[in-house]
Amino acid sequence: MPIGTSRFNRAVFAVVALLLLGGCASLKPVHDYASETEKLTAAFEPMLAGSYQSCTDKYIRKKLVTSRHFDAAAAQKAAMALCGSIDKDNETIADLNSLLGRYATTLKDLADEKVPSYSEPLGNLKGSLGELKNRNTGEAFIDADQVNAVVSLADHLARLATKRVQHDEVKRLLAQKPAVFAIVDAMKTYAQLNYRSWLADEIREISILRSSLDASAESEPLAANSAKSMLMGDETRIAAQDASISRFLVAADTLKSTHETVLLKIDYPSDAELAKQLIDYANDVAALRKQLRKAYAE
Amino acid sequence: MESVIIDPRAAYSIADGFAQASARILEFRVNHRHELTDQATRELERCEDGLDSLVVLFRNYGIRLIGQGAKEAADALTGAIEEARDALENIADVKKAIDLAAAVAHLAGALYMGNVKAIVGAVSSMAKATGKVLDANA
Repeated sequence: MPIGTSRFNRAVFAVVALLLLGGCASLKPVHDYASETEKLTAAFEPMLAGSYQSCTDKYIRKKLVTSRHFDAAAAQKAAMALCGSIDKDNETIADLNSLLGRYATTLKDLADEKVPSYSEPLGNLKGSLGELKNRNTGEAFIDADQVNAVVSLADHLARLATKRVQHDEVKRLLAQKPAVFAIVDAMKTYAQLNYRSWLADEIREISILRSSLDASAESEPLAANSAKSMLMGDETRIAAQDASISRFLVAADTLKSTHETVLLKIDYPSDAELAKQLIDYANDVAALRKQLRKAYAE
Repeated sequence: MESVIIDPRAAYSIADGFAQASARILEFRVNHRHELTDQATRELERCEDGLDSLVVLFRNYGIRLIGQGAKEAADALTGAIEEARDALENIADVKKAIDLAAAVAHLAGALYMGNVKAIVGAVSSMAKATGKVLDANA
């Protein structure tokens, strides 16, 4: 009879107890929340680049329509000089957006049920089982079938035990709520007060330029009409971009309420309210992405 | 040394003020293009450009005023620009409009430096030019 059976039995019992006490709640809601947040941070990027574009477009459009001696190259150069600092100064917001993206990806990976991580906790058990097997010179200390069974149980438990560590880590990450909300609020402020203002400037200018073209329509109909047509196209595009901002603001607010709900109901993954919240978030992000395709299509 | 960062919301509001002032000068230039000389047109365009660069400045981050009276200067700025913008709404006198536009644009240099004394001087000149335009409009 192999020695150490009672020790072996105690080890198995301990591992099974771990399983029962684990309370392994599914982390799918966390995965879903994190996945939509990743999409949101990607959706934000064209709005960051948009303010520089709006500034240069506005300048060149004005010179094109009103300059007595229009010089395209000079106008382009002057536009870049005027607007150049915008990208540099947007770097802070860009970094915040990237950080939020990284947070979302990390949260998603942790919540991903398919990928076992942290093999450390049960590595020792597997290792010492191997040791037991090897230490004997003549006799099997623990027979081959038993080792295989425990090793596959250990593998299985590695996932579950990892889930316990994951669970704690996920909770810790979700508890970073103040930092997450601070970033989202900064992004909202940029979209509302900064980018939206650039678009409003363009609309204001277009209306002034259009009335100036009305005046020259009689003497130069083709030029005036062609310019007016350009202005109309620009106006439509700018309106679509402004609508993206509205969609973004809605999705950002839904991010926050979803984060709250996921944190609150982390141990109740099948909760109906949580499910509804996640659906709302997915819908808002989808609506934002749809609007962005309209606004930034070339 | 007294130093104050202009509150971001105030900065955005000031930026909008500059943007509207620039648009009004554009409107004036466009509506009077048959009367304006080449030189007058160039002057007005230069003023618009100066104002446009102020819009960029104030929509960026962390405008800091350094020096004695920084806080008062920061507070005074918003009101002064709003008045100038309003004065530009109905311009009767081209020369006075150009002078006001130039005074508003002159702020650009002072604000880029962030030096309170220069800003206070520029704001004062702008207020004078605003007054003249309002008198001309009356």
